[in-house]
Amino acid sequence: MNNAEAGIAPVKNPFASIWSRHSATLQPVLVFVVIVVAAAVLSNGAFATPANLRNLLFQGAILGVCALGQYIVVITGGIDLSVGTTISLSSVIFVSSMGLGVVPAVALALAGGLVVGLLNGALVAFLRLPPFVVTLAVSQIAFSAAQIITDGAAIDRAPDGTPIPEGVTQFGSALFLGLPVTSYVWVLAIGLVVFYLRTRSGRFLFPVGGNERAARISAIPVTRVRLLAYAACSVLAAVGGLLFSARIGSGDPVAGTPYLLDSIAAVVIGGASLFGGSGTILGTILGVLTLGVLSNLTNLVGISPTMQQAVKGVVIILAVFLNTLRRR
Amino acid sequence: MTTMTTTTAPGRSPLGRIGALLAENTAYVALVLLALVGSTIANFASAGNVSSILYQYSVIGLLAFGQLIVVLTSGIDLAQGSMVALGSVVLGLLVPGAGVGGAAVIAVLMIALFGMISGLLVAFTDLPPFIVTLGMLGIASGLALTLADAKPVIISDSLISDIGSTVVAGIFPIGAVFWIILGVVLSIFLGRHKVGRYFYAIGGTAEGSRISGVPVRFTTVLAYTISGLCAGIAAILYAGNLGIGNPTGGAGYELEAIAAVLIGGASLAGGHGRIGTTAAGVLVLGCISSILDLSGVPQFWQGTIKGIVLLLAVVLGQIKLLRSAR
Repeated sequence: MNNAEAGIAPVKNPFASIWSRHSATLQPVLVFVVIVVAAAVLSNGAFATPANLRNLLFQGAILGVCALGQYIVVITGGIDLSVGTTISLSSVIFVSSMGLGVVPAVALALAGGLVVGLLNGALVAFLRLPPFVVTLAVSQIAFSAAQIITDGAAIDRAPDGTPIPEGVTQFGSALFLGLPVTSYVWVLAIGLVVFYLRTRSGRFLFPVGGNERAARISAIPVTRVRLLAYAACSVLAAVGGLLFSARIGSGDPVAGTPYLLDSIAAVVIGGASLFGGSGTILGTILGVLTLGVLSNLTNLVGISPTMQQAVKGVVIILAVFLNTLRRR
Repeated sequence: MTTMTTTTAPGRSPLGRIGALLAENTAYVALVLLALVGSTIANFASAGNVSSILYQYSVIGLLAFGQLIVVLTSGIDLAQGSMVALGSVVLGLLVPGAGVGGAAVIAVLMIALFGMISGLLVAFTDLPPFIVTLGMLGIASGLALTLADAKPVIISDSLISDIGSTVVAGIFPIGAVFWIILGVVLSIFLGRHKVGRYFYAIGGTAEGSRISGVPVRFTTVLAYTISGLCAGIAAILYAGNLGIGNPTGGAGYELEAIAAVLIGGASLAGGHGRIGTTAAGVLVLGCISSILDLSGVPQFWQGTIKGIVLLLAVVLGQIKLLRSAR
């Protein structure tokens, strides 16, 4: 109650006023700046080298595309726990259908993502099942589908022996104007999502997540908006799987595992509320970059790579906690 | 305070009453049907196979009891699988120094403490349970990998391998005996004890419970602590069955525990569910797995089928929920 009253009361301090109005944008910016400064100071010059920053973008591009999808779902008040296995499934479909040619293989991988997304979306939107349990079950199905396709192993060629063409792996490691080509794919995906948020269906994401009942009363097609959100998320994850295969040169049924926690961490560091209805694209982009710098930083201060997951677990809990404080 | 029995169901006709009774005990019905299907397959009904189902599924069964108590409070515990991994690693590392008994006690208490931290975060902040336990999943799995240096920890102690190999009365592995004892204790606790009834109360309506004097935060913390305790005991059994502390073990076990709880008729909305039907839910999963094994279904396909079973359980639960709301 006190908090609610404080929100309405006139605020004298101009800084407090700016913070209260723009905290959703300022928080991820602040966090990002603090992490970058920490990395720059602690690394004795090893951080701000072109090679290191380029490497950050190589990693960031894959996560960046997937985090955009998670962001869309989180705005609707949902969550997608199948992002990681969708990445794996897409990478596995892509490599194993290489015999058909690159373009059909890309199309099949994206179609695989779309099927996962429509399944998630249909169960959440039509049957109103809790998103975390639906996407957990679908994630299990996608994972075992990826295992069935490759018989559990990582593959670098199709069953008929067709290897990944050199053009694909070059795409995954090439630079254009000094930046990874894949990071332009990320920029393109950002552009598409910004555009999507301005379409009719995209604009409805926020009211659906913010107040579903009000959205229904205002004749917003809640069911369709939800369905599309999950479909978009899984297709973006499938794009992430393609980028992974191009970068690493393989299709791997466990490739996507780290991206589940990462994509959620990026979105919540970006200030989006898991209760839906709020969050910015800029925040999610900064969240992705923050995570990249953070893993750089943990390496620099000598935290074992096996602890990365634990660090991310702590980061997720802390970030969501900060976001709930801000919401009050 | 909500009750868990069907006293509120009208049951207008005898047929409707039978229908309600069957709906309430879907897990038992499913178990009987699966046993009938299984009995047509050679070796399914043999003592050896039943014992092996119990052997594999008593670990899941322990997790399912902990999961049930969390689900009663309308929460969820996604960290259980990684807690099994962490617990087995801690056990493996401590056995040479502390002996099996000491190592087991420390491992179980440590995992219970992790559960308690989840509970504290759920009870005292606005964080959704799935995100708290997802974060804990990351933390436990990172710790397990780091402590074990990303390799399995070999446990060469005869007492540990005894846990895996001892069979009571020709059919019950030690794990199953633990599971049954814990089931009976928890069933009495949930059904008869005041604090046990609190779990149903706060899942039914947290605000109403608060007003009527139920210590909501204490009960929430207790629920996640019990889930951690169950995961700790499951970790010991897991390590006993395999003879190793496995930092990547237990992956996906929470999924099966949740599936068992939902097959047992619990609602993710909280306030509804029983130990007996949850145990039946665990055995349903065990029978499905055994039937698939015996019919030669490849391992990777079983993951798909488990995912579909979980989805079906959720969908059926939701249909029941929507019908009772009408």
